[in-house]
Amino acid sequence: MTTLEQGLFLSALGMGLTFAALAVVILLILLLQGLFPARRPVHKPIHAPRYAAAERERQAAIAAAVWYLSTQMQARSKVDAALGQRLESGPGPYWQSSRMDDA
Amino acid sequence: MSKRTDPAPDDRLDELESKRRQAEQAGGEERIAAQHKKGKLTARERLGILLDPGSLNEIDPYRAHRHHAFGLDEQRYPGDSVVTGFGRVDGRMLAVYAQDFTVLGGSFSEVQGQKVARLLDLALDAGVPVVGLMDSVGARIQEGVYSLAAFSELFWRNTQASGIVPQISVMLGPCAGGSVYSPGLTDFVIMAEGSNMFITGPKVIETVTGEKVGLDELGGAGVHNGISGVAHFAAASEQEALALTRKLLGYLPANNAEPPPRRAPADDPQRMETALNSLVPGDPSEAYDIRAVIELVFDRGSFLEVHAGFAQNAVVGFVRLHGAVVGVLANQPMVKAGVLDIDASDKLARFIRFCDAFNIPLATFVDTPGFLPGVREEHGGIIRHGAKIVYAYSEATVPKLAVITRKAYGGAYIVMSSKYIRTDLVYAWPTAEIAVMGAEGAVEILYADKLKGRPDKAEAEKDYVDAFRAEFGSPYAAAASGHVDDVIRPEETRPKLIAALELLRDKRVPSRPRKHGNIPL
Repeated sequence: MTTLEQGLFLSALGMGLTFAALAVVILLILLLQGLFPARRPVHKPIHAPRYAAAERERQAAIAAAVWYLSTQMQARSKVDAALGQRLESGPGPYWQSSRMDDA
Repeated sequence: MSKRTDPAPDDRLDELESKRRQAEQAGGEERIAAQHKKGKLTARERLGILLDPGSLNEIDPYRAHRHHAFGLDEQRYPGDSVVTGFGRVDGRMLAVYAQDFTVLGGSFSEVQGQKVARLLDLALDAGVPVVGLMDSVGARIQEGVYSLAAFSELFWRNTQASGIVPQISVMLGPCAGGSVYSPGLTDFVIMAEGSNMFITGPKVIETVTGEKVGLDELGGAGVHNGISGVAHFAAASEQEALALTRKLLGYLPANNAEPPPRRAPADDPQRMETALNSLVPGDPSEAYDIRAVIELVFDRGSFLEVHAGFAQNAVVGFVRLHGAVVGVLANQPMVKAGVLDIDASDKLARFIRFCDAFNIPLATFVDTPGFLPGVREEHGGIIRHGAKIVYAYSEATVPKLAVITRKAYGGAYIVMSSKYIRTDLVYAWPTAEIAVMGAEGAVEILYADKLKGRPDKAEAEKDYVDAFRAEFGSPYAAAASGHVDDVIRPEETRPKLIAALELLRDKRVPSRPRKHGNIPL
């Protein structure tokens, strides 16, 4: 075995041992997590007065309604509310008189 | 009170009823049965389907011919070989005639000519459309030149009525020889399966030129709807042809002094179709169906395509926009990339002229790479035919709107309702490319010397093409110089067109007095 080959072999062996050790550590961590699961933090319920929750809900509903109305109003203001009305009535006297001229 | 003793009036009523029944029997039960056996309806049955129930008022039901030669004196039928009258379709009045095949094969006689001529005179005076149901073997040879004279009277009247009242021919059987010029002169020809039209029949053709050809192959509905362009609509049956006629009449005014019939709007004028934003492919060589654009922009389900089988690289038809009738024209990128050729030019020009004559506004969708190059086209007279489109658009005084969806190149851009030929409003989508010609072609001409002999020719050419596209590949250069009126989001097309049509509702254009123009026919 040449010096180069020895060097390569030892490098590969060293890397192999390192990754194997790492794998053992990871497995150990997983095993311990399985045996001793972490406790979830306990949130104590806030016993706020019932009327306060209802008030908050009411205010949220009002805010949502205001937001909806304002967006609708904005959308409406961007479109031409009278679009198409002039077409619905058909040609007017200006056109009619031009037909008379043609005749 | 004195008792009625004179029975004569009742007898006369009986006599009238008897004569009516005789007229209704036309060629007799045997011939009616023969007609039914062929799967065809009689003239009166057809009119019964076409018109609103009970609305037919017949004219001249007792007219009979005066000829004696070749046994004609023994074949005299009240009303002769045509039923004429007036009636209603969807409550609107029109004049109608139906050739009666059970009477001497529906042959065109002196009386038939006189009856139809009288009907056309009435229709012109009254300003109502004329619909003819055609089913005839041709001129009544036994009457000699009388039937030819009758033909000419009809052709003359067809021409006089052109542009004043809409005229529709519904082909429900044979139509041969000189007879074909009457439908040929009318505005729309609807052909039912099994009908045919030709100037000279298969036998004459074989004798003269040696060509062997069948009836349908020569002049069937498929041929005239797909190849010759003589017919505008094809129908699978007589019933379908008559239903199509009713539908078509729904888009047409009664005469040239009336606006087209409005319908109560059934679609949202503000409707914005986001699907339009992604309908035009990014790659300019990729096709898309312009009919999908038409369907999305105009009132839902209102598109009635005209000439659907002929010159499919162009699309024309009637639509409704917020209930108002509009004539829509477009290039079709799905067929020959939407290029303009001889047939497409004829198709577009004829439709524009019809719409203009009958006060129907025009909306044009432009996506064309240009006129079709080739010796065949040049020798076929593409210059003359293409000029018809310019002439028709320039001459038209109805509201004219255009939307450039993608390519608008060169001469084809000019003729397709550009601002230069007085289109009232031109909109462009962000995908529009308005240029003298396509980038590749332009680079070949502009940089021919610079590219000659270069080792990196392909790369340099690509750079030049990219630079050309950067300049003309968007509509903003054209918008900056006023060649288009606005660049709009595709989804906005419907409300934009409605607003434009509202603006132009009462458009009037002064015209200089002249006898008539000289369209390059």
